[in-house]
Amino acid sequence: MSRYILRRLVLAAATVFAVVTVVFSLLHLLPGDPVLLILGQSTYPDPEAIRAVRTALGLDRPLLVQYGDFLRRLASLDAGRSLYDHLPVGPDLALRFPRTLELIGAATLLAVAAGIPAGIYAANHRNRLQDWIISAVAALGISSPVYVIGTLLMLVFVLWAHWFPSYGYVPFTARPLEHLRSLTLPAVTLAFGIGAVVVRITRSSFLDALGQDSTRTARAKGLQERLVLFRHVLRCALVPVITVVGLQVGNLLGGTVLVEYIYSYPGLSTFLVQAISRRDYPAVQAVLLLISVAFVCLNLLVDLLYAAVDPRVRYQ
Amino acid sequence: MGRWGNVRLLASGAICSAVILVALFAPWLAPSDPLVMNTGMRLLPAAPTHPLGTDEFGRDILSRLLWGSRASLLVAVGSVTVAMAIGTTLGLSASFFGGGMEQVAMRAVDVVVSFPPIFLAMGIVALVGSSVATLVVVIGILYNPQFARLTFALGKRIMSEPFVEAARAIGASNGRIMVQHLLPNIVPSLVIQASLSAAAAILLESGLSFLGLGVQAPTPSWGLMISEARGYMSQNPGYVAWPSAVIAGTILAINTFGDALRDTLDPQLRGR
Repeated sequence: MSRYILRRLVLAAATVFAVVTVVFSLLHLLPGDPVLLILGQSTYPDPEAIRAVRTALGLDRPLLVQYGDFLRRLASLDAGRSLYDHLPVGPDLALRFPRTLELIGAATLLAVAAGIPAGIYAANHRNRLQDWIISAVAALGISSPVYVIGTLLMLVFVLWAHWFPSYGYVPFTARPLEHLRSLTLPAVTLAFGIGAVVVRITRSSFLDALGQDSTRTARAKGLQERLVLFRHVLRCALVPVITVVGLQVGNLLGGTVLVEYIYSYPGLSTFLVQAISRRDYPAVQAVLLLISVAFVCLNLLVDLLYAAVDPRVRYQ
Repeated sequence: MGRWGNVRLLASGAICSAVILVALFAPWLAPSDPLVMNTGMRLLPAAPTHPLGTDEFGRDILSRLLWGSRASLLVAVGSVTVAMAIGTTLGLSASFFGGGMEQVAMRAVDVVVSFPPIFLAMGIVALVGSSVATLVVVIGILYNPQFARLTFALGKRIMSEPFVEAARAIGASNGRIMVQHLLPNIVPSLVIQASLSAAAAILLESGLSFLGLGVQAPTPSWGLMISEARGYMSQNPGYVAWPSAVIAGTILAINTFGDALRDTLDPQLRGR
């Protein structure tokens, strides 16, 4: 196991390095003058503005020097300064990143809490009406874009039912209950897609496990049906569910972009959209870096978790 | 499966073909011009002249929906073609040559996968601006790993088959082995992957358009329509409901088609 962990750690470190390099070179790989890219095609090149951006970002120096500088800055956890208000970007990221993570965590929790029972229920009523309904809802959940679900939930629960405020984030420390209320709709929206996947996987792996020899043996030796299901079938069926949830958590990160935008949730993604509309390249770059590194770490965590659950993985 | 599987394949295939036909013949099918504004007829409910009502500029929603299929399909077809071309080339050469080629190609693919697609797409669009061409190239690059990994895994397996050895023994060239022996055995899997990737590409394109970073107004696109309709949900709920239903239905049809195709072509994977 420790050898596997070491190998995965080295690989993840290499990937982080590659990701950092790609984010750095994005500006230089794209066709056109970096400064003009940052300023945007619509603006007429104003020599003063060009000079300002060039010196602010150090684009007038040799590429390798810029790269070294970039790495040094990252090593000291300096996220750079905004072109818009010239303030450091770091504090904004530190404030918003936990909110995005909280949203992802809440959505995952909801998806698992609703998806696993629904999947088991469908498996137990295989090919009956209940199964068909659950499977159809799951198929619809997988196919509906997250912004469609969000917009429709907003129409029903905010505009028609008035159950939730249309936007407005309440910090947990200020009013915990209001905080959970403001988190509900975004988390439910984000949970739909992954919940649908959880339902499908739970259903099929539960059916698989029901047909296993161990299940037949447990029944044959006269174990109570309840114990058969919980001790044998469920344990066996949950392994693929864990893997798939892990794989989907990465997709949730992408989903937060649209969810945060719809509900004006002050997380990392709204910050990115705002930075893009202000053509604030250093801020865009910082968010991209943070998200990609988080993504790599998340995948590493899932791999390690998977290896812990299923020893066969370690020897591949 | 059997009969039901065929029904599923045919029904989803029919819906996908219908969407393609609509995109091709939008100018003849649409009852009115999707761009013509009429401020006297804003946010009307459904009526014979405007079967699905009108939007905030008095434009016909049905016509905009029909025309909007073009943007989505153009980006989907374009980006999947780019993704398939890059991915298949990388995967084929990696599995065929192995060694350094394999390392370079597959590690490059690993790096692309380390980015959540929508974030990288937003970063690039932020710099170069948004156009259909940009979306096709960016989404094509972002989705090439699926094809590269698939081709690589299958190619590796096929390379150890006796008929490849036989071809080599009778003196077939590298190119001939790749095109005549590897590719045909990979095509069925590529087709399935292409349909699933097309659905994902439409999701990504419409998501970016929804954020205002994809297809630009006033060109009709489904994501953009939903985004615009959000401001008028209480006045005209149909305005937001129709594009939502159309896009979810299209993606459901493409996904179902891909799944049904896989079940038909590869019975071993059934139920996965």
